[in-house]
Amino acid sequence: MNPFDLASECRRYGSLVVCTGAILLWSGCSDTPASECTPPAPTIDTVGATLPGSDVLAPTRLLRRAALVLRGAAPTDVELSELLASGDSTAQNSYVDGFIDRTLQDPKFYRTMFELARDWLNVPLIPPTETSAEYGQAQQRMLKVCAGGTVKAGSLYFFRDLIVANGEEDPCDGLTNLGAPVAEVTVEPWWAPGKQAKLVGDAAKTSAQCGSIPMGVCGCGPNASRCRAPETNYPGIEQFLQFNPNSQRRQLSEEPARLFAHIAWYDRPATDLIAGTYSVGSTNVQAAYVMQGIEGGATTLVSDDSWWRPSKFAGAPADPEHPAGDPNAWREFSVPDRNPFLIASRNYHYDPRTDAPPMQGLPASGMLTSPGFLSGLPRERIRAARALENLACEVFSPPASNVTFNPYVRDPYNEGPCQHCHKRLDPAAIHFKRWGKQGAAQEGWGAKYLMPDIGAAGAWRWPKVWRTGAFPYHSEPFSQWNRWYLADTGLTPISQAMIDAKPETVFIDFLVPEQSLLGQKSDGTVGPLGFAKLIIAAGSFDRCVVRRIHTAILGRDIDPAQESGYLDALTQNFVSGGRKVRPFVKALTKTELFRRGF
Amino acid sequence: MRQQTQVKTTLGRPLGGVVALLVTVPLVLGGCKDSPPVDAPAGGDPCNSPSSETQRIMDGLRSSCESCHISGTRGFFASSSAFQQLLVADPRLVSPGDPDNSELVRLLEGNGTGGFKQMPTGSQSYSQLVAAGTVSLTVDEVRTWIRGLSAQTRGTSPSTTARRNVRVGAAQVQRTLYQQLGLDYSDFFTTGDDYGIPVATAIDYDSVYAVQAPEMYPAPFASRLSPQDRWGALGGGSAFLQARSDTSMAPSFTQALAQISQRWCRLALAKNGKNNPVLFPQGGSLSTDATTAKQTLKRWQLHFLSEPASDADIETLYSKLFAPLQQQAAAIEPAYVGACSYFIRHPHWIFY
Repeated sequence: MNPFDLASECRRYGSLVVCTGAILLWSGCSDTPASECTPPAPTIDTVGATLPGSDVLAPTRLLRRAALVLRGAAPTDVELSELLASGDSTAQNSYVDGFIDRTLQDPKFYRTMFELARDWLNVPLIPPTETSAEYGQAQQRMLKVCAGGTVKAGSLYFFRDLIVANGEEDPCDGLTNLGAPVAEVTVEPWWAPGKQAKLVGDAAKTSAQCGSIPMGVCGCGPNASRCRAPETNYPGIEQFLQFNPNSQRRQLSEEPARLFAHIAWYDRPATDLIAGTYSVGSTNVQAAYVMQGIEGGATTLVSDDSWWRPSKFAGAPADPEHPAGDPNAWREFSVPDRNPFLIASRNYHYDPRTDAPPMQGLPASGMLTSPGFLSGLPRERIRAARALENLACEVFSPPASNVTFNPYVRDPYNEGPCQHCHKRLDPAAIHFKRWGKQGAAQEGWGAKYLMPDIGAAGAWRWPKVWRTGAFPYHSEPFSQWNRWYLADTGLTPISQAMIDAKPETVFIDFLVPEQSLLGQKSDGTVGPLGFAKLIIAAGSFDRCVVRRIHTAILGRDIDPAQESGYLDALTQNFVSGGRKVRPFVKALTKTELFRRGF
Repeated sequence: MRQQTQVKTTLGRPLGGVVALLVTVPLVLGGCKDSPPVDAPAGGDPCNSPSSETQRIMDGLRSSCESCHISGTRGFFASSSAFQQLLVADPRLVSPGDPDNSELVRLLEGNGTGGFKQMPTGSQSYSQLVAAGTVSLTVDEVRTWIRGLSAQTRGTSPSTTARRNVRVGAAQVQRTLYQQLGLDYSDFFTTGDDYGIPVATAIDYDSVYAVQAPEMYPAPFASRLSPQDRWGALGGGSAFLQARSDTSMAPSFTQALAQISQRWCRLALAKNGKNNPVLFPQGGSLSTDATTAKQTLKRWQLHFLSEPASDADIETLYSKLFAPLQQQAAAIEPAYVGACSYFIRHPHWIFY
């Protein structure tokens, strides 16, 4: 018998003879010359096999632990009765094993993984930058319904139908300010597939050419994809309110945790969370990607129906809590298909010092290129700090009081007590530069999310004057970039001469050879994927995922200072198993540690 | 090098079991080159204990390094074991026998190849600190120590002293109590709306001690957030509020659970005309008959704690808790409320 199997049997029977033999075998030392006596590399089911103490859980208590951990509630009376009726302790433990196997396939396990990731990743809601309900990410104009009794009752029109030349008009009366009939069109709207909606006034303009010009006189486009229908009397508020489970703002903040749950549910490698080209999202979430793509100049997206037509997405892998084809299902989608400025290449290099613009895009990078993450954490260093803490388990603490630093002048990476954290922070933050919010939205439109230098259409490129801070480049995000993207700093490791010649070089977003992050050198991959590659290569991401799962299943974190060998052994197991969460969770439930306690 | 260490290994009690067997098994441990001294802590993992010379180096570096490296993934000075595991046994930092290829030496000499060129950080190099008398351990001594090191290995066992039980989280409290008491959302809330979105309003001015997280649907109504506050008191986290969950035995948890258990038990006992089938599947609730009450207590122990009870256990529970409560109140309901609350406040309910 394999010693590991024997140890497992020992736990079941509690037999003195069997257990003593198992433990001696596990030690790897029973008949081995001392000079060769080396602790065997443990398989995961032997972890903790020699724990002291007599606190082996009874099967009923083990069932309780498994139920609480995997589905969030204690076992039912029926399950307890079945366990007790199953026979002796061996049979009862087999019952628990079967219960674990069944529960890992239960949609409640998906919910557990989602809740675990929501607490772990802790992505905040996208903050308002104007009065609520302004959060910006929608980038779609809100519509209103013409009131009953008006000529166009029931038709939809722009919430604020601004025509500068003629003042605000009310298309619901059927006439323009000049007395001509208002434009009118009937479309199949993206928010109600298979149904019809009548648009009037400027909203009725459906030319695809309007796709990249959402404000002013341009219309909603085919299928009204540049607009949103109201669901309340205050159009747009329903997309802002976090207590609406279907609000876009809430769903965007949930997307990273949903992606993790999806990865666990479909046995994908955990690295897809930060390095995959896909994500998951409802129609509402995918709308944010599509609108960003349109903003960058991908106008063909205006007539793309693959993100909202159920027949186009019904076959996509989705969460187990929604039926196929449900617009609110968290279904898998290709990020580059939704926003072509988040590209599929896994090895895209773009050096602004030597390469001519435009940059093609940022390599799609799982949650790291999700709108909720990028907009919920509004600047590069904040994104970096949270990413390092949550995805690499880095800890930022203040420097010791007895250390004397060089004076701080302009670069927190190299100067003053700031460098204590910024030495790690800035080499991470450099990858998160190309996303910044400009302006404030009104009723869904108005704010823009700039991705500097990206896209052939030039939507996110500017004349040199933006570096001066003069209107209209006087405010965010330009002021942030002008204040902090300084030559010869850790965040912007290029010369002032280079910046003078090519201002866009300040957006360099990969590590130069002199820099490293967690001991790793960059391969030149730009943007968040470059960061993801570094923390994966450092082993930090895998160890961090293992610690988070360990905390969820075993009830405590692994202390990296006291149990680094244990952590590495588990991590090795996790990685060799393809970084699949569910099998790893199951393996943890087989450990002796899981079966100890009261 | 051969090391023999007495390791106490406790074998599990037979399942369903009674007595734990403590067997002392001599284990031959080895493979930890530069193995620990004979005075290694009893029961400790020899692979994670430093030699006396390593300990001397650690002590020498402590004054200039410890303040920044006391916890976390680079908490080298958290303990002797941490120093051994995280630094000595990490070939990225210490290359046994080869000080020139050891990042530790390079950092002390100001030639680091990673993010930091120098350790400790600050305006003075390590050599300058030595020259100034701030520290006494020289880089040469560190070099000599590394030159004498053989290949290092690390122990792979989890801590033997870390806790093995965890407190139930806020969501587990709510879901389990809903299930075990036969309660649901409608026992605590009516559904209103805010901007047309359903919201949960605790009934009767929250005299029912409702619990609801901000992320739950329907979410607590913004004008009555006590269910949300109670969620927080139970340690529930919220991404909306940027609050992490907490499963420590905080006073707020204890206080909240004490109130919830009593109030919710009372609600459950009153439900369905005092004949809640979840608590009394065979009917006959709130019986004053001692035999019937004891049968209920026995069933409840399994129901709440997943733990079969012996007749003696139930006899004790009945005589020490149930009967006195009944006598004190001169009514039967407080006795059942007290017994139900007892199980929910029991360590075996709170911990798993």
